[in-house]
Order: sequence, then structure tokens, then C-alpha cells
Amino acid sequence: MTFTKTTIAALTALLLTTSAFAADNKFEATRVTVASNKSFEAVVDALRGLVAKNGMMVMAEVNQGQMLSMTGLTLKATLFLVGNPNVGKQIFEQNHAAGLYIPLRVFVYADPAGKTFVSYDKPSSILGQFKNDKMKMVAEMLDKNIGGLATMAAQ
Amino acid sequence: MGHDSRTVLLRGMLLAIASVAPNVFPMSQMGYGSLNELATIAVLPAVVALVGLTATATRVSPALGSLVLRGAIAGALATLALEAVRYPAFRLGLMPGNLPQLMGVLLLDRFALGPSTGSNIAGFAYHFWNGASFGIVFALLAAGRSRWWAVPFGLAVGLGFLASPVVLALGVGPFGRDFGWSFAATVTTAHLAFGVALALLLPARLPAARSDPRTSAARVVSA
Repeated sequence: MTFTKTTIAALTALLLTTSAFAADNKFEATRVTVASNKSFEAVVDALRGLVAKNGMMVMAEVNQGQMLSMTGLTLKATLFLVGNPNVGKQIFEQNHAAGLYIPLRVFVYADPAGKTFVSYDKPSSILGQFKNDKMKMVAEMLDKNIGGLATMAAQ
Repeated sequence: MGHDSRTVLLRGMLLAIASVAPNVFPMSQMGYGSLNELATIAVLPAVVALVGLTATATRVSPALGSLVLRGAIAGALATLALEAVRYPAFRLGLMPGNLPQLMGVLLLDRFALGPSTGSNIAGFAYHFWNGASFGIVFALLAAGRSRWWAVPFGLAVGLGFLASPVVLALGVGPFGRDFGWSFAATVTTAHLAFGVALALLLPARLPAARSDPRTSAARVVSA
């Protein structure tokens, strides 16, 4: 009987702890979308050329449009993973779990009407969940960098 | 070693080596390595070994060498018949993806960048090489038998594909059941077309692969 009570108490405690962790991990990302009057190709080229000017580099490029052409779907969409090893270091030093969001994702796509957009999640909104002052400071700097990149590429 | 034993051994080795390329894609989807890695360490050496072994087989038994060559050519050409079914079906949305293109980006390790002319060439080359390999396997297995065994052979290859981890990796469930009947129907029809074309491209009765007594005698004399 005592054993059953202890087991139930332990399971309840575990459940509560898990729920608490799940609640802690909730956050709301702020997606920023910048419209461009340029063609998709021009924006992609501009982004590649401007990324260094904004203190970052393209770490990987995922051509989702080309990739999805293998399924017969036609669209223009390229995802860029952008970042900077030194800035990344400052974030990782605070919390290794930030690797889920770093390098940052910048997405260039054209809608069905052919209008081009540059889209990204504001770094401070996604890194804010870690509730770390140092990370917050770096994230706010990244907000400026990535915002500048998206705006300049779209112009 | 007797000449017939040598022929049997060569036949076994040819069968094993011809089976390498078609098995590499499913193996990569089972997690044994990327298609790019497996192509480098297994497919390319197997291609070289197959060419070398075929040359040896031709010297030991011209009938065996001829069987391999006929099988390879017929298999590669029969892949065109398969393509005549597969490609229109893909364009009509009856298939979840363009498999040779997918194999190309995996072979060149450029999935993130999507297909290019180079990756399409690599993918289709691998696709047709697989066809040639199946042609060799069939010719070696069916030596001395009717060419029409190629039809159940083609269907068995299609069934094997449907049951393979490649189909699971496409995200369409076992035998493509989550995609709908069109996937299994297309794969089966395409492989039926492959089997029929393979049969028509081979002689009515495939020659039995035995050692050539003249060549064997000449070897004994020269030894």
C-alpha cells in the first residue's frame, strides 16, 4: 500500500516537472517579412553579396524550389543559413541548446503572383526563451544585422 | 580447377558483383552510409570489377561473356521501356517523385541545392546501370531457359522495390499505400514493361554458359 502511494506520488511529481519544463520552453517567434520589387533571382544574388556587409556569412544554402522540383512542384524558394562563428560562439557559450536556432534562417521566396519576399524570425524573439542577458544582447545585435541584410537585399 | 568449375565460379562472382549497384540505394536508406559514400566505395569498384570479370569470362567461356554483354545491353535498353511508363506517370502526378533525379542529388551529395544537369546525368546513369545490372543478373540466372522468364523477373524486381526501404524513405508508407494505388500500379506496370522489353531483346532461349572447349584446350596447351 505504502509502495503504491510512493509510486503515485513519484509519477505525479515527474508529470508536474515535465509540464513545468514544457511550459518554460514556450515562446513566440516574431516573423519579419520584407517585400521586394526585385525579381527572386536578383534578391537571392543581392543577399549573397550583402551578407558579409552585415557581419555574417552564408553557411549553407537550401534551394527548396529546385529540391521540390523533384516532386513536380514549381516554386522559387531558397533558404539561407546565415551566421558568424564568433557571434555563434558567444551564444553557444551561454547555452548549447541555442544550436536549434543558430545559424539563423533567412528565407527568400516568390509568391504565386511572382512577388519576392525575404523572411526571417527576429533573433531576439527566438533566443529570448533562454532568458539570458548576454544572449539577449547578442540577439539584439543580430536583429539589427539580419534586419539590415533583409532590407538591403530587398531594396 | 576444372573449366566448368571455373565457369560456375565466374558466374557466381558476376552475379554477386552485378547485384552491388541495385542494392546500394536501399542500403543507403537503411543507414549504411550516404549514397555518395556507397557509390564511391562500392558501385564504382563494382563497375570496374564487372568490366574486368566480363573480359576474363569472355576468355574462359565466350558464351558466358556474350551472355553478360547481351544481358547488360538488353537491361539498359529495357530501362527505356520502364521510363516510357514511369516518366509520364510522374508528370501526371501518379508518382511521388522523380526517382532518377533524387538518386542524382544523393549521389553527388547536393540534396540541399536540388538537381542540376550533372546530378541528373549521374542519377540517370545510375538508373540505367541498375537496369543493365538487372539484365546481367537475369541473363546469368536464366541461362539455358526461355527468355519469357524475364517477365516474372521484372515483376519481382518491381515488387522488391515496393518492399524496399527506398519507398519508406519517400514517405509514402510500405508499398506506397499512403500515396494511393497509382504508385504501386505505376511501379508494377513500369517493371512489367521492363520485363517484356528485356525478354524481347534477348534470344528466345538464352545460351547456357559453359566453358569453350577450344579456348580451354588452347589454355591447357599454352600452360
